[in-house]
Amino acid sequence: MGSLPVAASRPRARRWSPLGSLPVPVNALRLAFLVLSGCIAFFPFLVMLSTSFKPVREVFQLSAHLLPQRPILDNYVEVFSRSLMLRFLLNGTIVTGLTLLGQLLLSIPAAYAFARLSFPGKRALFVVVLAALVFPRYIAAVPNFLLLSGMHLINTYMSLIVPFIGSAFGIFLLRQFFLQLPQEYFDAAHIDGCGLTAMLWKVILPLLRPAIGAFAIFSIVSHWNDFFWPLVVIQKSAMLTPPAGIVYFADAEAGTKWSVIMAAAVVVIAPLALAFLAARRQFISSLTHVALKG
Amino acid sequence: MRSSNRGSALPARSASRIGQALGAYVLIMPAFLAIGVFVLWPVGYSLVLSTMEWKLGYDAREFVLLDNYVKLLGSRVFWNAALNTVVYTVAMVLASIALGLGLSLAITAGKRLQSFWQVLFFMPIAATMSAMAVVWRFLLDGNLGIVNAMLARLGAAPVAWLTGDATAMGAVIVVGIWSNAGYAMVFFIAGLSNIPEALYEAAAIDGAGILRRFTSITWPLLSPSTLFVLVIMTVRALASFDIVKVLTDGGPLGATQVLSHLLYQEAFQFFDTGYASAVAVVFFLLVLLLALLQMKVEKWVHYQ
Amino acid sequence: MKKVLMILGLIGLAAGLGFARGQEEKSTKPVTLTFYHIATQTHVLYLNPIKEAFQKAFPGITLQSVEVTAGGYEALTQKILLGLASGEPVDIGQTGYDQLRTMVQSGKALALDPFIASDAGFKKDNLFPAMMDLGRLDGKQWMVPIGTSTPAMYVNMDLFRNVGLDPENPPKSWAEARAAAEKLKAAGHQGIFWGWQVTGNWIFQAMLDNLGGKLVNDAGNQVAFNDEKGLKVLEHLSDLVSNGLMPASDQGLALFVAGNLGMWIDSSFQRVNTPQQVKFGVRMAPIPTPEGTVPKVAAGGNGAMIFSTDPARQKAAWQFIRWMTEEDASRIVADKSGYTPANQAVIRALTAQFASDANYKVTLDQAARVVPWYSWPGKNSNKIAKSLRDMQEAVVLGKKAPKKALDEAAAEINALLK
Repeated sequence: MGSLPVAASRPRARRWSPLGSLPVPVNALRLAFLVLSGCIAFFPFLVMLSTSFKPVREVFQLSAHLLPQRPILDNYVEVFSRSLMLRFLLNGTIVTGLTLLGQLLLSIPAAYAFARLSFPGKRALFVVVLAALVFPRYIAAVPNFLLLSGMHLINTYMSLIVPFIGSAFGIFLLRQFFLQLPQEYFDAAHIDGCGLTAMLWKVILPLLRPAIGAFAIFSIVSHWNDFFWPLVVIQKSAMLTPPAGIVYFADAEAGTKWSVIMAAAVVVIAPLALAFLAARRQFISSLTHVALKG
Repeated sequence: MRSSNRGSALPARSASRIGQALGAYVLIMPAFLAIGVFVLWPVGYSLVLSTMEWKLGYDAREFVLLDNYVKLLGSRVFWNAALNTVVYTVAMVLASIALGLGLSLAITAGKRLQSFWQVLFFMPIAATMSAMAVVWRFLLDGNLGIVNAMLARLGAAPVAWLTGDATAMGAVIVVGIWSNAGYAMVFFIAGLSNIPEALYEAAAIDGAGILRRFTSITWPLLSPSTLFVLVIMTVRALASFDIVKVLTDGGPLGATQVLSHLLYQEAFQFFDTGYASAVAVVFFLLVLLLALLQMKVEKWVHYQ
Repeated sequence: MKKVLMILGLIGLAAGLGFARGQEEKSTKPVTLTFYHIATQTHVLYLNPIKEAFQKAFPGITLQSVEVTAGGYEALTQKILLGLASGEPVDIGQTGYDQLRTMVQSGKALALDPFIASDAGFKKDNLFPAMMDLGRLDGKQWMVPIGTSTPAMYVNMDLFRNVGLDPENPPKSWAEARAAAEKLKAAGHQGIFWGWQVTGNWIFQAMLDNLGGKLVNDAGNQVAFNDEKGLKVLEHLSDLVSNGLMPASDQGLALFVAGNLGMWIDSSFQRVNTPQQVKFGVRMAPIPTPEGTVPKVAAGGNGAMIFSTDPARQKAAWQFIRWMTEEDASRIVADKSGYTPANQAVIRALTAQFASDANYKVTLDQAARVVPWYSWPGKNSNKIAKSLRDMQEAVVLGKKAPKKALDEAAAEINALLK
């Protein structure tokens, strides 16, 4: 494994392109392609935002008016005052935060062991990690549900957190990172006479921060956006997380109050969308980091 | 690591090895316990459950061995879901890879706005899927959706997007591509940035045109990224429950039902625990098959 | 001596009464009840005020809710059974009338007769007998009615007048309704929408009942709807849709509220709220029947059942259920929804209040003629309901010919009835 490629941390200003310099007509095509695709990518967001500012009645007329005739804030007021949206957001935050914490607590030691220690069965166990990486969670749904209901954890935060704290991706990603740390760090710690735990805490963790950041983004995005599992284990509407909550809300309005539903959708995607816009480089590099290590 | 060796019969290195191994096991145990309980054990338990006839909520349980599988294999609904899963996966993965690649090339070919385009095309991935599926449901509504309104403006007849078999499947695939292509794009851009400029300069000297640059340099050297994207996209395609449940709920009449949706329906709407577990086992075998196929594909990957 | 005995007797009596009242007060220890119910926008309009009023009247009992927003009564039943299976506390479950048998067969519902017998405060005679009967099965009372509805047609008065139809004399037969729909279609409107998608295939049953058909044979082990009567229902729907007289959709309420639909057949439950959501006049009428006769109407609606496992919660749950049948709660049900509560005093008051309301008269009329909403036996009632719904959807969306849809559904359901 080589050193971290530059591209993972900073997109290089490019003075050449894989396609070479393009003749004008081809360049025009390229731009047209990007603009058209961009419009399609952005279109649902545009409709969602603009509908959220329209009065409910305006949405009953089949009209191609994208923008509201007179924008109003009533829909947002309704979402925040009459629905459980704030509760959903709170639930999402608690669950996502605690899940991340649990995942880090379990994955960091395991990743270290796979990267730095040798033990019998290491290869086989790592294959297990790889297999768990691509494993669709649906397959485990029924047994996990039975297990959690046997423990009377249904409808609790724990039922949303516990099944996910064993993160194969966490082990995988953090192991990559450990593999890149030069041996000198560990040897120096040995010489200083550090015990295992002290070494972990004082030396390793600070070094791990970028990797933890990358993993955190991945974990937060995937658990905040999880729709399936809350649908299975949560029956009390007050315990739902935002992805399940927005669907619950959309169903309750039976397709008649679309502008309020759109406002609720805006509120649900806003936290991650804004976080993404603020930290886009980190988001993207945290993903590509894994790819480049093969 | 304690290196003292008080009166141990073992030589120091073996003791240290055993110590290291034990230490390692302690470190990996919590994570493996969690993975074992929530990922591995369920596979085995599903196998056991699939041999039972058990309706959740009722106490009666009986072993029926392979009856659930017989029912499954004879069920039109099951084969329909299996077919839909394959169709959706193939279509969504291939199209997302193609589109992602195209976007990555188009973006890196430009001198400016690269960051802007990347953010724009990645937005669908950062946005919560179920919420965006609600938005798409509204967009494509036969009576109130803006897509039909625009068609009407252009003088075309409205299309019942979500109630026609083919159009509903098409809609699910389109939404799948919409929400995944950006992911592929991002990986391709990173992969492209790893191709040494020197190779392209040499090709330019040789007088290679756009196509040659692509076929002899770009595509081969992108193959690690392509394989990776293939795996990631397939995993995401199999996780299409969100889109299907919210956009069409498997409808109309099962036309867009995929295996994950069938599993949910049988397990948590009909409470047919045994039958649902049989579906889960078959789904697992499908995933295994896909994984094996992809390992074969790895042979074609050209590593630097 | 006699005097002393009499005084002692009076003291004893007073003590006894005081003691009894004390017992009643003691039973209101702080208890939490979990109430499973439907929470679509129209249902919360009466359920939320009821929950609030109950909390005020019984401060010692806390109500927690588990809500279902989609999937109708089948989904609610599923949630209740799922909750019970997961060991969750389920105390009171709102149950559609067609789910009664499923709930009773689960073995988890409590028969209410012991509570009724021991509670002197429960005035059974205050309740409309026909409605109480909707909660009886195999000689026991399992459910107390919350509200009953009947199939009804809603007419968009403005659209009718636009095309020269008289909203005060809406169509009575299928042929008349079809003709009216033709007129509406000619003027660019949507004609008629039969609410085939209403939970539990209720409208399908209504249409079938009025042809003299039956869903299931008397033994309950084979379907009976796949005869020429069932076929007639599906062919009628297919005819309407394929001739552009009925939208191929499942969004009845949304279509009507949007204002372009002339006739909407759904539940009398929608009577109170629909006119509030729209700007046009709404006239209610009995549903059109094949020959224009007075319709047979299956009772829609729901009641409450008890599932609590511990005696303290059972007692509190009974208090809730009993309170639901009394005047305050019944009044809320009647004011905030189109449901007719079972409380006769409230019904009488409503009749007087709405003496001149043509829409209410329809409701009242029909409430007196209800027949039961069929409740499927066995463990597969959810799958059966889905099968029937899919059958209609296939016909409405034009995916299957009526005969084929009918025969396939019949085969599926016969297998599920075994």
